[in-house]
Amino acid sequence: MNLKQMATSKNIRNIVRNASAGIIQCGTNSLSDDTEDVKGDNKLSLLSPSSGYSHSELRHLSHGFINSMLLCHWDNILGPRIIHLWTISGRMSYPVSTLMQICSQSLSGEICRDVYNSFIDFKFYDIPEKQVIVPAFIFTANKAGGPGVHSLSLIIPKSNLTLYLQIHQLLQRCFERIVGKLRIIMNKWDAISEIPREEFRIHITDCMEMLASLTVSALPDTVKLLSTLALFNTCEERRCSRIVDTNHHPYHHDLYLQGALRKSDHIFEYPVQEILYSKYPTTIIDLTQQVVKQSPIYSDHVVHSYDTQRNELTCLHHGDNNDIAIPGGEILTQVDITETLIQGLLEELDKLPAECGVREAYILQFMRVVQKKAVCLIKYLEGETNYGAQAFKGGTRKLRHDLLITTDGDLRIIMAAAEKLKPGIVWFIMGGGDYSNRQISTEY
Amino acid sequence: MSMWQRLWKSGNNSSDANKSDEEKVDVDVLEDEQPYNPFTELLPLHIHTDIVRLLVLVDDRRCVSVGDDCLAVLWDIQLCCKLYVLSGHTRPITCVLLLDTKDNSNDWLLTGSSDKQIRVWDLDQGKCVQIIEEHNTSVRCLMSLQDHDIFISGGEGLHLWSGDGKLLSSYDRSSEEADISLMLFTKNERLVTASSKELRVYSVINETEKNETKEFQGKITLTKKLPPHREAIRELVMVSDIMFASGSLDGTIILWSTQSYLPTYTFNIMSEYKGKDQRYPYSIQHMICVEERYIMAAIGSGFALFDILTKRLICKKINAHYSKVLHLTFVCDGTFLATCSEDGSIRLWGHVPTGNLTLGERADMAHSIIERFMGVSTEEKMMYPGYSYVFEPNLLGECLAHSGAVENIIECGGDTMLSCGVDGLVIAWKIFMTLHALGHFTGRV
Amino acid sequence: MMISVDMYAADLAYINCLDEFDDVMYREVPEYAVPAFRVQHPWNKLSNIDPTVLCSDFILVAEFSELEGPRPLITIPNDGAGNFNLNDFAVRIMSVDQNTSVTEGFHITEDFQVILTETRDNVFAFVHHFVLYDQQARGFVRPFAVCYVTADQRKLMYFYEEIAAQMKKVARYFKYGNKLVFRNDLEKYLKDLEFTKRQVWRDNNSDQCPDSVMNKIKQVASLSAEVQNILTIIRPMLTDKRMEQRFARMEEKAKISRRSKLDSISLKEWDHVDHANDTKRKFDIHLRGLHELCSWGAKDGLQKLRRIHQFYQRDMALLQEEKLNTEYLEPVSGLLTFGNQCLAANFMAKIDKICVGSVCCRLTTYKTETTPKFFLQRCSSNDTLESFKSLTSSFQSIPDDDSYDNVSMTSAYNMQMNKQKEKIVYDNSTLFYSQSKNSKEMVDSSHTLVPDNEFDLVDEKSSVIDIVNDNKLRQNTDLSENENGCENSDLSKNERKCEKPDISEIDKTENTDFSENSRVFESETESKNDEQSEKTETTNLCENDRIPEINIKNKSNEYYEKLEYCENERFSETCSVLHDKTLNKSSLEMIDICDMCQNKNKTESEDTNICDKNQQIMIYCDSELIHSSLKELKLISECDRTSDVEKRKMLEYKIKMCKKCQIQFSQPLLEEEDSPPSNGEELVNQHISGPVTCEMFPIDDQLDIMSSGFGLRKLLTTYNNMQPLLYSLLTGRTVLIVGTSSHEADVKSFVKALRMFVPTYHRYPHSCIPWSSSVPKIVDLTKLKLVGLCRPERKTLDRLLPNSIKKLVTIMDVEKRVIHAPSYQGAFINTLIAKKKVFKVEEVFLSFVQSGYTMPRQSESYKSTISTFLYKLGIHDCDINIVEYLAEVVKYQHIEDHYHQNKSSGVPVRPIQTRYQQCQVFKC
Repeated sequence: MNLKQMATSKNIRNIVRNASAGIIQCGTNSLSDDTEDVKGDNKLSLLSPSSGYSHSELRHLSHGFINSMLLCHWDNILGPRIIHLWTISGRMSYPVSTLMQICSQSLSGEICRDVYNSFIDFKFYDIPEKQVIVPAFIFTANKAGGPGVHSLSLIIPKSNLTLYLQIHQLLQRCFERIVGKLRIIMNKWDAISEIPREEFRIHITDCMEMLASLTVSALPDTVKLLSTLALFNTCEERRCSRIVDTNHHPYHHDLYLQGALRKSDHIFEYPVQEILYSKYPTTIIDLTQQVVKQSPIYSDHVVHSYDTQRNELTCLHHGDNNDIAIPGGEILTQVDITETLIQGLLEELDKLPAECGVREAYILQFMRVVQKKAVCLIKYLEGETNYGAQAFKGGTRKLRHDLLITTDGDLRIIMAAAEKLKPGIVWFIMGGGDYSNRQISTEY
Repeated sequence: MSMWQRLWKSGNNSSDANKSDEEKVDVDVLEDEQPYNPFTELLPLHIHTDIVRLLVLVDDRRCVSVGDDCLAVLWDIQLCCKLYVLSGHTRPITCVLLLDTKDNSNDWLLTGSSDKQIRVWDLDQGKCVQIIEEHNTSVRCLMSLQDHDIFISGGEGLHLWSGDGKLLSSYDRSSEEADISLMLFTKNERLVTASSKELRVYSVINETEKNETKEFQGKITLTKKLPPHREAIRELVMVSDIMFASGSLDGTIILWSTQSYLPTYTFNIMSEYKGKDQRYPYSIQHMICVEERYIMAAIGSGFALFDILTKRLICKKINAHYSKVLHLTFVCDGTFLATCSEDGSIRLWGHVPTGNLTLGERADMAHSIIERFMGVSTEEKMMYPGYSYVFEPNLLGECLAHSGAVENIIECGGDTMLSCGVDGLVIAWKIFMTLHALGHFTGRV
Repeated sequence: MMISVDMYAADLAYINCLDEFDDVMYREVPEYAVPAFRVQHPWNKLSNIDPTVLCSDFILVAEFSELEGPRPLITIPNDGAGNFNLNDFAVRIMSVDQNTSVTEGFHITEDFQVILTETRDNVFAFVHHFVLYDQQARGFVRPFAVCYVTADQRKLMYFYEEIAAQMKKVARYFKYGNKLVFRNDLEKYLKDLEFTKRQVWRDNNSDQCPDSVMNKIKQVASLSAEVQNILTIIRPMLTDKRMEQRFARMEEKAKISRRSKLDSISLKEWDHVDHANDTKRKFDIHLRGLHELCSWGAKDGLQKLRRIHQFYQRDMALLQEEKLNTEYLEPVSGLLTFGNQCLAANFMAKIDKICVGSVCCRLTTYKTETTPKFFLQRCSSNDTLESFKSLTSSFQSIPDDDSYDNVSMTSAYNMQMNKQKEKIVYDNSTLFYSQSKNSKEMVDSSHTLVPDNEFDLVDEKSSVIDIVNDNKLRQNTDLSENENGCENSDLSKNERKCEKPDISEIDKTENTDFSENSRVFESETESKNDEQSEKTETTNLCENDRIPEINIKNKSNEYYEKLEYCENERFSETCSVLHDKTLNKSSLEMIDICDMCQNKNKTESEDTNICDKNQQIMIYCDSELIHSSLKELKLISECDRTSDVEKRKMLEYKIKMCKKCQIQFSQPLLEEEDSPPSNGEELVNQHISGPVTCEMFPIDDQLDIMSSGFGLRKLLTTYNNMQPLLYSLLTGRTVLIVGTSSHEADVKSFVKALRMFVPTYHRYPHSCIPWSSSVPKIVDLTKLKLVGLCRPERKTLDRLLPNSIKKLVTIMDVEKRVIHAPSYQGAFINTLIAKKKVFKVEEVFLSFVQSGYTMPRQSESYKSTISTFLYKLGIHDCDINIVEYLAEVVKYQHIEDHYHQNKSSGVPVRPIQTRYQQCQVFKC
């Protein structure tokens, strides 16, 4: 070990010592009534002047599976500190000692983090004796005049582990968005003690509502009307889909499949911003007008998505929420691409008896075949480009020729499946394997 | 050379000319492709460990095979799986008999063995329900008198049993030299037995009317000795109510009247029947009677069809196989004659469909098995007395899978042919209507 | 703005888009709050930009040393981390606060698991923290962490539960071994203290001793009280008999192989090294290494980590696909696979009803809920770690997961794989130990562990090979693998010896409650293995594999339950095979390792025992092949795909077929319906599928080293006119590849390459025989589909084969380069073969074959009646035959399973299609 590392490890020991000192203090004086702090009150806890935190409650969230949310930061002198606690009304709350433990666990090991790192890191652990699992988001945010390491930890009962793992990706997407906003907010107000919780609460509630809605209106395993489409999704994807949700916003980004109701007197406004924010492009099937529209293909969408994300934050920063720049032109267009896979499938389905789940099973087989083809495509590219070390030459034409894919539409289907198996592969093909410092086209 | 011998030989110059050189016989050979062979699927059923000699159909679905391994096996032929293995005999099983018992809905099977036992099996449970030991000598044949709920066992001795296995009567055969090998029961309540060259007729039932109820008195009494064949009798077959036939090693087939028990006609009399090295080239191995009019006989390594009505040979195939034909049967409603032989093959014979008609369509048009088989109308041609055409069937298929002599073939359930042989296998040959086969079979390829 | 660019060049990809915006406005937003634009590279291949980027997954064992702070100890594989900065990373993970509150006295610290991400660097880690006890350490405590590090963030969450459970197991190994050592240390220490006490008394010889002495005595007394106290905590935890047995077995094994290896040392001897003597703590000396701390536990734990690595290091896309595939393994009877690794389709998957005529009835057969669990129990219990029930108290934080309910199939496969690999452990143990005697060598020794890895690979391969519980074959493989290294070389004798105890063991378990059964049975098996390994001394290898065989022999009802095990084992093996499909990078690794082996052979041939060498040589052989067609190994496995599309057609067809079967079965079916709803036990019972009854002609003990499909591309490019051959295989016509003994190697490799075209292989491993000296009989042809046949020099082919067989088989004469087969007129195979030149790498070719791209779309629809679909399909009739055959295969699986379930005495025979096609002679 070189000197530098020795130095670091010494630091760590110091810090760890501090941290544990803090915990002990907390543990010995734990006050059960601390959790009963008045909502939104910035009342300090009784333990020590420095370990106080504020608390607020999110209401009207039935069916959620998240019990609490904890915003913490790493204080270079005092170690891990809770900034704010959100509890969900009607959900279980935890004693201070547990919260301190979570705070400490979430931030431990993060001192080495480069504070100017703009990525939102993820952390996940369980605390078996407390029967909770904790996904935490680690990020840099402004705090008392300078950037510091923060964490936003969700406290979820362990019984929801399976559910959590199923919707993990969705939740991560949502919270990265929220954390992004939170960073801006914290930067704007510039002091942790004065976080405009109300503003943040709006964002967080929105997200929590969506997540909560998944537990009630997620697509059931057995498939019905709208769910026919869900046959083409995996279990996990179905978990991250929902049937029509009348109570809330009609569209939420990153759900795989969702239903929306149009009010009869009302022109349905496509939530373009949300659509663009999603990880994958969106297809809208308008049953009333019998129109199918799609957002741009994935390789373009990636860029749009990023732009949207950045614009949103910039606007938030400037306080002009309603003026978020949206790419010009029609985002949702009717697409007419020839393909043979689905056509063939439909023909074949037609020949199968509609009973006994035969058709459903056949669709599953179909999905497997598509997936196999996707795997083949991945392997083909691995062979051709030496695992991506070189760019793929020849483009989609060669791809189609060598893999006997007859139409562009088929290729798209297969590429979409491949993208899910191997994220980035579409960009790799369509972006020509260009990973150098690249300017994003932002022509609107 | 007798007339029959000439007839038999005519049209087959090569063997006629070089009778001494039997190795040079012309036997039909088939190509790989057998467009007319419907048995495209074969299922080897492997339980027996020794020669399987006999196959007996129980019903449309089930069949019993018995072998020298002392076992009888009950098979489900539709699925081709073993149902039960009936084991218990200590010597090879020589004969089996299906028994419909009146008081029992279950199917009973009797097996006779050279271990001197007769065993009764419940086929639905696969269990031995009774062991009959009073036969005391090796059992060679079994026969049931269904109407009377009585069965007869033959061999060294001759015994009469009630349906539930009680010994009713025995005939003392101690003076006889040879065991009874074949039995036949004629309509007029007479039992015909064959032992070596001899045929005997017995009366079995004495019906006494007592108090208006018929009572059977089972008792075997010899009523008649028939004139013997020149050589051992190999086959005894019922032709009609009034006629039965016996065939022997020397090739002779005698038709007997069941009224007078006198020969009414003799086919196939060969003057030099012993052949080279005592091989009996004309020996009768098997006979079947069709439509109470035709007798199909396995003769040497060939076969012939005799018309009893016109007393003519109407069909023959001299060298159908490389060695003796052991068994034959019509399959597919007479579309084919299947023959099995010591040479290990099963061959399918018939006529090549002509014109646009497929075998199937042809079969639909024909009225009888023989018409289907020969592809001609019997009325038109064969009734004409001066008509002397002898049909020589074509080799239409060869089912090759046994690795030794094929002992027995039967048809089962319409789409299956079963064969068994010295290799210990029972093979189910199925008409599997793959598109491919179907196409060939129906000529729609 | 781009602060981190220099340091983290990997992030060049993220982009700052200042230009597009008003500078002033934008600057107000701190850059840390602006997300970076980044598109993931599918293979994380940015190494040209940043050499430290993480290219492949690895496992790191790190500790927080009281002397040096956080430090990396071992990586798996040895150079797995590449240029990745391990030291920094160790600091990162070990600085995680373990939350050890300082309480008075000695206590047991619980483990802690956490997933960490370093999004910027694309590093994601699953970390398992645990604490080992060291009598020499401060507070007796040494914190360690094991972590799985990957660049694919999806892996950790996707397999969270599996990885968590596996890591817990690893930690248990370490900790149990450690506690044993710790206890021994303390007991010795205690004796020393008492000795000291007595000495002091004796030296001072009077009641009136000086205060200093009294203090000393008091000090000693309190020390010994403390030690006593710790012992009272530790001792109750050491009640796991099976774990100890396991260690004892390893110990035993070490002793045995010591005979051939002078430098080895067993654990017993090790105890005599007596490091416990120096009661004085010397901070200037190094601390004890992991192996010293845990003894056999470390050996075991690391072994297990290697397996974990081997399993999860594969491409996420493949892992995902595999996981999906597992859903299609049920019901087993509906499975259509090719070769041993390719799951083509499962027509009955997700259909729980069967139509009989127009009536839908539920088939109990297809109740799938119970099975996966059942599989898992079986699989997990194969892993011999299930011995921790007694330890629950100390593992409150880690629920006892013996039941393994929540672990997905994949981990089961993993374990299945493990099971096989476990065999190897013993062979290396001595070597290992000799190297790890000295803790100073610890880190080094991790590098010298190469032999272990070699074995892993061999083993992995063999697991690939024996795929489907080709128990017999495998057994042979195992035995012969070991043969050289062991004194006992009589194979058959060995086998017989082993079987006897098995049977008796099975008898023992006969009455056990079924719900317990899997576990009990397993444990019995294990103890049986104990006996065995003692008895035969040669082969701990046979292990569980033998049981199925025995079961085949004892098909009577009392063994019925066991039979199930076999079956399940078989299937899970099939699955494991599916998993082994793509060895991914391991083939490349293997090349390296093979090179190493070569060197090793030269330099260390004296050291390594014969057994090792033998295996190395085997690897080497393989490696040549690998070289020749590069990543072949991986690819191969998938070739099977040929007719993927057909399969789909077959779904339809199949369903019809099922109807057909059902009608045949309608009687028994109805009966089933009438029976009251079955309880769990019955359900499980119902799930048995056909025993692998293979009345085979004797099989050569020739081994089967390589994966099926291996070398297919080579075969297709070196030989022409292979269409008829493939066609025969795909229509169930038995193929004989005939050559004299001088062609043995060729013939075998052909069989292996072609095996993937055998759709019955997963059910009847004996349907492919690489090398046989006896001609198959007609009965064999029902299941035997591909045979390498040895022709005696003097016998011509015509004389060798009886007529009856000749007509039913396709023959490839390797010497004359001639194929005798029905000709093929169709599209499937031609398209397949036509593409062989497009792909440079076999891997791609195989995956291509697998993906079924070649199948014409229009051919996919089956009509409802047999007679009409011929016209509508628009495919050549030869292709129809293929499809028909595949449908038949599945149909018969159903029939067979149905009969097995009903415990009928007989099972329908599979038909042999004769088709009476014109055979032609092709030059190839």
